[in-house]
Amino acid sequence: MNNATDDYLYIFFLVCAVFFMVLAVIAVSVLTGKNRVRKKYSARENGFKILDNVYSRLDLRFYMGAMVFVVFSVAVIFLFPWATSLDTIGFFGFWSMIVFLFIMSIGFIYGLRKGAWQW
Amino acid sequence: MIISEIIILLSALFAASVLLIYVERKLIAAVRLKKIARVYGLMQPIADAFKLFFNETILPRGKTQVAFMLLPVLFFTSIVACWAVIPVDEGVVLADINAGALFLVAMFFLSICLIVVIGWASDSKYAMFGALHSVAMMVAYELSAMLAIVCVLISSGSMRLSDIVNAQAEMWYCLPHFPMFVVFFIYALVRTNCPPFRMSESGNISDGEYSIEYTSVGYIFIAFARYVNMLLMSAVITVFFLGGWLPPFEVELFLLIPSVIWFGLKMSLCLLIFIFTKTAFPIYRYDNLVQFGWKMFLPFSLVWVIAAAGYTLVSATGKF
Repeated sequence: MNNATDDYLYIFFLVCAVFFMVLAVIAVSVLTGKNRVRKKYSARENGFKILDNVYSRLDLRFYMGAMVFVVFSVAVIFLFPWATSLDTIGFFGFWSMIVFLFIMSIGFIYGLRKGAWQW
Repeated sequence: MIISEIIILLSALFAASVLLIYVERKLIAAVRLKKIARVYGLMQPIADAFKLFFNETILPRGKTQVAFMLLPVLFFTSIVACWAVIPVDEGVVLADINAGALFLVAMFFLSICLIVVIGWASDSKYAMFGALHSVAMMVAYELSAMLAIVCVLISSGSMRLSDIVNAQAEMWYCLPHFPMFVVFFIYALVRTNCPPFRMSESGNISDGEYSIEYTSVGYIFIAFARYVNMLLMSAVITVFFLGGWLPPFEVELFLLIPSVIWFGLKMSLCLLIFIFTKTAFPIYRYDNLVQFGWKMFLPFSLVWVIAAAGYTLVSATGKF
């Protein structure tokens, strides 16, 4: 089996799985009888009245964490092709990546000093 | 042909998770000196699923209803899709793509993103904050887990998962990369919500789970996805660090045993450690765990990646 076919196989697998699950979920949610009590459709708030919706303000630290994560995950993805082709790119590639990681770690130290993970 | 393979895979996953639920309950009961049903307890998860199946589906009143219904499906799919690239035996794999490790990482990211969206679509503060907490926790350990995978790739030189397994014929990667093995194992604990990291469903804040708004079928898929995820993480650990389907030593007696059985044995070892961690450990403070992931694991795994790459280059070329 060649690679292209394999790719299609797992995409097909993915689509299949999604399709059957969607079918099951939608069929059940449509078919079951509804007992419409108004209270039931409100969001869970431990029995209290809902004062505010979800889309209000969040703690800034979640945003900080998310931002740092996005930056670092993009940087780490670069390591994947680098790691597999290490024997062909040799020491030049190795030192290039060290420079890149050094710049990345400056950002990390900046975040550390700014207290991005200080809860 | 392919459809039968898919059906076999899905039914194997179903059977394995039913067994896993039973074994987990049994072991937790044994550790806490309780008694639960014997072999008939195997029927319990199926009965639970049936009961949930006939419950009413409650949609939130809002603009997010379609997303709310679709998200458990997508979440479940993103976890099951990983199984397409896991080689259980030499050649026994649905799609042995040449970027298997990258595909796995992408799917891990996707499932984490979907948890945030589940919290958003639930239109409830408890679900939202539960989702944010568990995602912040996973994200703190995600990068060091990726760096652990990079260490494996440096040693194997290929992203194809069957090549990674075959490259471990001389030595499993859990020995030379032992610290990275520990890092990845802890990441697996985070992803499977095992107690040291079980923020999303722990004790006095048990309302803060991201699936709190889900009833009936949606909940079935989220709960099912958790157990499939446990199986998946143990399989990934087996492939990356425990030598996949290879026997531990090249002894005649070990070679007699089919290699699928070796894979299953290694997976069950990982699963047993997950379950014992679930019973044995207390829950730590959330902020400490997040800081531990970012401040200790990430720098350490970066240093380990550089050291592993340097060592591989120097031993391959023989010069500095």
